[in-house]
Amino acid sequence: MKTTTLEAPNGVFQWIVMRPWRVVIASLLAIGLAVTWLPDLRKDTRADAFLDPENPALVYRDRVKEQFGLSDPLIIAVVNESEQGIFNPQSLALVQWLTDAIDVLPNINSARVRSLATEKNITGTAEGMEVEEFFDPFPDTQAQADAIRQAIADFPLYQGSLVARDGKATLIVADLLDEDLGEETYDEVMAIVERAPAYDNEIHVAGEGAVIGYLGRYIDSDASRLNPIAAIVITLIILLAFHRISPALLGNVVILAAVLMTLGIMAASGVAFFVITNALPVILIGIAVADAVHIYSHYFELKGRYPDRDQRTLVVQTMHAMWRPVTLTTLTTMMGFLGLFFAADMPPFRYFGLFTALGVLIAGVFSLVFLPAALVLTNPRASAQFGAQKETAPEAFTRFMVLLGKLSQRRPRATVLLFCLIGGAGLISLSRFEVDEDRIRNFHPDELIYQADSAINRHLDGTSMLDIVIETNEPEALFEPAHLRKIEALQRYAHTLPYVRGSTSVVDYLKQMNRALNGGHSEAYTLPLDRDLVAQYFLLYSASADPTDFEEEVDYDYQTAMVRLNLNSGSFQDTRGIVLAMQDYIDHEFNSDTIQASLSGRVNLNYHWLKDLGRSHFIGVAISLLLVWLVSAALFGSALAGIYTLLPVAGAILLVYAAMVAMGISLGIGTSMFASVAIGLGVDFAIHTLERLRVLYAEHDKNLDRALAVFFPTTGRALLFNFLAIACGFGVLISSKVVPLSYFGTIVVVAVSSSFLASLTLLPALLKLFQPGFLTGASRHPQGRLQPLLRISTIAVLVASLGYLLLPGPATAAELETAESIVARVNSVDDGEFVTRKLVMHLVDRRGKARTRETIGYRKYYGKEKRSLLNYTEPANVQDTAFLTWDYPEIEKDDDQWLYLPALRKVRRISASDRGDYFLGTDFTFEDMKLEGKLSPQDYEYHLIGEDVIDGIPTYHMGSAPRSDAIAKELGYGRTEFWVDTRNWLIIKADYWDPKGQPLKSMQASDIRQVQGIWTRHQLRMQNHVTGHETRFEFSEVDYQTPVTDQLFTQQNLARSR
Amino acid sequence: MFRPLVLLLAVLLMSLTGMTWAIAAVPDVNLGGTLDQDIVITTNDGEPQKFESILKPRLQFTWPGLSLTASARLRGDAKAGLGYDNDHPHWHVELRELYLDMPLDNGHLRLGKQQVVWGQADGLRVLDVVNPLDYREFILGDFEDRRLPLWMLNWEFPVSANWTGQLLWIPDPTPDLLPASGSAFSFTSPKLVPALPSSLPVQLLRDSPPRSQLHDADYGLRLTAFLEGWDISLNYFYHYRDQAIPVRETSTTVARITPTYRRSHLLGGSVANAFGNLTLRAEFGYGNNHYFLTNDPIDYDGVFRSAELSTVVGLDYNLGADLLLSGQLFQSVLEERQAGAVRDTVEYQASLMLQKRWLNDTLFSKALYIQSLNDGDSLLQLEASYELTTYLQLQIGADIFTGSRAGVLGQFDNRDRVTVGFSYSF
Repeated sequence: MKTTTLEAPNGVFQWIVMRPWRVVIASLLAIGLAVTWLPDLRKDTRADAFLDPENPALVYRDRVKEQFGLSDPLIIAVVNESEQGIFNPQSLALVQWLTDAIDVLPNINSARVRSLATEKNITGTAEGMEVEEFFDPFPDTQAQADAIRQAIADFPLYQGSLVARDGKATLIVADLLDEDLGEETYDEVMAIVERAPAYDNEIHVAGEGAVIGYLGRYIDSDASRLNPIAAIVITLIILLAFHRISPALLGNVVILAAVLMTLGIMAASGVAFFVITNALPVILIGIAVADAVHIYSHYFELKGRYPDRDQRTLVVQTMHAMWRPVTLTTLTTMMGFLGLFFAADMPPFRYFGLFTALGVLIAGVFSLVFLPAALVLTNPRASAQFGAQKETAPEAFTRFMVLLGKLSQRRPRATVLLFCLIGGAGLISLSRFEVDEDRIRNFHPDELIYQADSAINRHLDGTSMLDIVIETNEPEALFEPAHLRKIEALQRYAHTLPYVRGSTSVVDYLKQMNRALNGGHSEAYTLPLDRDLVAQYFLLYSASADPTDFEEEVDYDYQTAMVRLNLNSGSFQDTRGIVLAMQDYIDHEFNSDTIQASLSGRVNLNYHWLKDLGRSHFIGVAISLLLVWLVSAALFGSALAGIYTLLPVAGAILLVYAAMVAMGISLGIGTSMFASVAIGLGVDFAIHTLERLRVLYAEHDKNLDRALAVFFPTTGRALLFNFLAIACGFGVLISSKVVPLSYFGTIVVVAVSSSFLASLTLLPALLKLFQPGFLTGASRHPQGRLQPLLRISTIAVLVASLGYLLLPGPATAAELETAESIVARVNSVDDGEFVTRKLVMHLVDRRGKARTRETIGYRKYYGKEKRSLLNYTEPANVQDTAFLTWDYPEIEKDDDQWLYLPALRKVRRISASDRGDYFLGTDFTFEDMKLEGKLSPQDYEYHLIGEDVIDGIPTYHMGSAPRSDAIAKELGYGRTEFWVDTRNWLIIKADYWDPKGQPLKSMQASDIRQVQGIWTRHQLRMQNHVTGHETRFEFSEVDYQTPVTDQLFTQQNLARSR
Repeated sequence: MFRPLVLLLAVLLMSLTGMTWAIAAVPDVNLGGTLDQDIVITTNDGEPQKFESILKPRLQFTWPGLSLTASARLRGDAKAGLGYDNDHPHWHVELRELYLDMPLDNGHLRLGKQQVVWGQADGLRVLDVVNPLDYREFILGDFEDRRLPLWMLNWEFPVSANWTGQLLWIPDPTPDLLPASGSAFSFTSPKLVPALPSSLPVQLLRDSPPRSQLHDADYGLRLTAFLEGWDISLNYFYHYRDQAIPVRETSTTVARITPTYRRSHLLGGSVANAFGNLTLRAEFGYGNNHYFLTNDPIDYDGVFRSAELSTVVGLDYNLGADLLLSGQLFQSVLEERQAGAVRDTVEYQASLMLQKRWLNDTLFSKALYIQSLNDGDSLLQLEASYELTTYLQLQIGADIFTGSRAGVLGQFDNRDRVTVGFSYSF
């Protein structure tokens, strides 16, 4: 082994091997520290967690939830398959028993438990209308039970929603108070079901409320089952590779470090453990061990060859040879996962990508720091298959690799052709590829919850809800028969759509009341004809029953109503058409000036977060491929080599698409992230192969066959174990009970296997056929090759920072925007409840003379009122000057302003400046300062000019004109044009014209980045074209988190600034 | 000046600071200040009145929740035509401020040598009487520089949602500082200087007996509120008035003048509000136990006592952000009428100010005209400053007194002057 000139890493490894105990203890301490954070790890299994909390659909749904008190309920079904169904005293008593038992659970909203035992019948009497509970009196006899059957038969509203149309099932629907406690509540309900006097009735528990609870437990049991299996499998593979125990143990320390530290950091940074995070430990186990395999493999090679050499020297030599490939594969794997982070819109995916990348990094660092120290301490001897004996008696793995090598060397053309065919099949199958997701299909069909869901969907109208919120312009507008008929028509239309099995609304109640008051005749099950009658019906109802009975269907003012559709499928493919059809109907048939409808509810939410899944998947693949190409092209100093590197993974992914279509697996939550993972992992094989072959090619006098002959038994064998570790790690996922994870495991194993095979067959074949320039141009010695690494690191840093900047914000311009919606989005950009920041103002006159003012600014919202304080800190002659403003939301109310002048030591009340006046000598007006980048629709009319790209940033180009000449005069602007960044809705550029139409000013914003999650413009430049004066604002030390006290915005504080 | 209480306060401050230093370790330190250079030329003889350099360093230590501020003033005047008795004419070094700031309950405590300013009026004092003044250059120059900081405890505390209280305890008897006789701005107006019998030699005593710092401390209470757009304050100050009362004692052989200080209750208030471009400011104060000069030959001590009601009403008019026009009317009414009183029972002063900023606040100009409506004497101050760089500012100005020598302003009719200077910030 030659000593080389690369001193820097050697120095590091020398340091490590001289102080092994210190390094080992420090490593263990680092793991220990991360473990102390672990108890803070929070689980979030809600489906809502997949949507950004700011997503308009989610925000709207939550509002609706609050208004109508609707939540995703827990549904308990009592099923009786006998002749008379559930209408017998025993079953009904069970319903009563269950209702009572569930009602008292702490996390159940007892006011909103609905079942036959709580609901009321509406019948006509001589005096008018009677509203009575179905169970009043309680049905002790079969005759009474039959009477209830008849009552339900006369009350279409409950058919299908509360009681099965065939009478064989009925529901108890309970709302959770706190979805986060879903797991406990589910357990409690299951315990009640266990105790229930069921007799010949079946009891099922389902619904989103139950899924939440069940999934949490499911994940726990799945994780605690999978992780040990994975660890055992990996340990076995290491044992198999090296026939030694210490590598297996130490490999597990690296695994522990990667997994525990990643989860610890997740906990410390407040990121929750989502459903898909379950895959993270297993993936890290597979990846973490790969580095250890390569390092041990090389170490044992050396140890076998030079058994007498000093252990420390041997370890340093091992690390010297291995630090580069370990670093490179760590980087490329990270790139693969970061691709997921950059491309995904859904927070769980983004965090999954980010934290897996972090785990890969930790594994890489531990492999490079902890392993050498541990190697010095354990001093393992090489097993028989390493070293001198190897050439004479190759073991099975080596023989397998040699065979693989011969295959492609003898038939390069056939190998290439085969891969072309596979790629073609993948491309063709892409057209049949579909996105689908169904929460319930996350569970194995054997699971109770899956069966419960099927049973309920079979008997009743379904467990999936699509809500339609009907809004009118004034209170009591819903008494209007025309409006009610519209709602009735909407429901009738919904019923024509597939999977829509039933619906409920206030219309159904009115029809029932009309029928009750008209002698109970079924032909009278129609809407009352005039407004007064409707009002009277509600009055009558409230006289004989609790008026809050309708609170789920209509609001207190009879202005807003809710129509709830029951669907018996929750899958995206099935429900997408319904959401689109309903939206179309609402837009074209329903909405008018006086009544409008909007979609909400679980089904609508699912549509919104899944519709972009396919798009973000393919973007993710593209970004990952691009990143990997960049890194490998930089490594090899050749764009072509980058393409060679990509071929095996690209082929593998196409193969997976073909396999998914063939196996009927659709792209869902679990499966959509396979590609980024497969790329990150699969590319390692290609990089190792190309890198090693280049060196060997040069070492063997440019004879590719001889280079290949050396490659397969050495590097090839190490790659095989690398592959086995990863494949087995992911293979464990196949046994997951969480169905998408199982699919995910299968797919990744297929992908990694194919990229492994392609790297070791297709790449050598291609090299043999084309003898590309990057192969022949390789230098013989690896020294001086630090440069590509530097290039790669630079790219990595660049990509990471660029990606961070370009990251799709919470609101992306997925749909075409209107001027109004853009204004709304700009104005809803979060700018923090309060902020503290340094502001340096550079004031430059037309001759270039510059003056600087340094200030500290504070701002805080009090509802819509805004208070801000600007304290001058530099230079000393203006130091302590302070400007306090209280901005009121009412246009007609002048702002209150105070100025503290240190020369007077007095707080001076100053008149609210004209909004168009220039602010304290700058080129920004008081109004510009007040708006802080927001827009003012009460002053301007806005129009969308088009889309534009400014400095590579996609923007909406907007125009605005003041609503009146008076406003134009007051604000000093005749019109403006501005450009809104479509990704974060910040204004990045603006031009202003004076009221006479002359160009007045131009503004540019730059250095835009997130601070504590809030997009912040750090530099603003305003040029005044008339005076030639220019103002540049530089914001720094922006802090949205440290609370700003109310006392700051008082005159007392103003006077105290000195 | 090792007055025991000052020493006590200083020790307290230092030990608090030291303690905090020990606990909170390294503070945030901020050092800055200004260096001013002024050349003033009297217009009637073309002679320089002062050639003055002033260094005003300011040092601030900030710990979380606590800060200590110190500032000093070093003044060197090559001309030495202005000053006080016993003062080195060329050099003057002074600790201007030294105070500790800390939040206390929901309020704020400022402890140490400091300035407190009350009221809404500009330049005319009704409520702004907490700190004494330096009359070295009469009323020319910034109030900031003319106020004499006092050792005090200053506690601001919330009273209710709208009201805030301020409690002052000032165990520092420093009075107004008057220019030495013979210096450029020594008082000559009979409204300020007692008439003395020309037949007798006059003996000017240094001071009335020294006051006890604790017993004779000043107390102040202010309540402020922001109600319906109005800034309101109610003020009460129980204090020794800082202007000396020249109590005359005439024997057959000598006339003695003893500068005497008397305690007074001041009750007052102020309001301010903005209406469109107009800002209204007003303040009033009712003080008892004020003393005024009298020329009544039969008056035995040359002064008489009266309560005084003072009111200022001001109106500011903003024309855009750059132009400010401000007018004020000041009225002082004495409760007692006294034969031989040197001032009128009711006196009026008016002021008019025009202020404009140019070229993005690079250039600042101001004209202030103050006139006594009773005596007709007046002062016109013109001022312009230009910011050459961020740190360097050039200034030019003129102070023009007109009117009868007997008037408070007119007494300096021959002291009209032109000022040129610069101010450097660091």
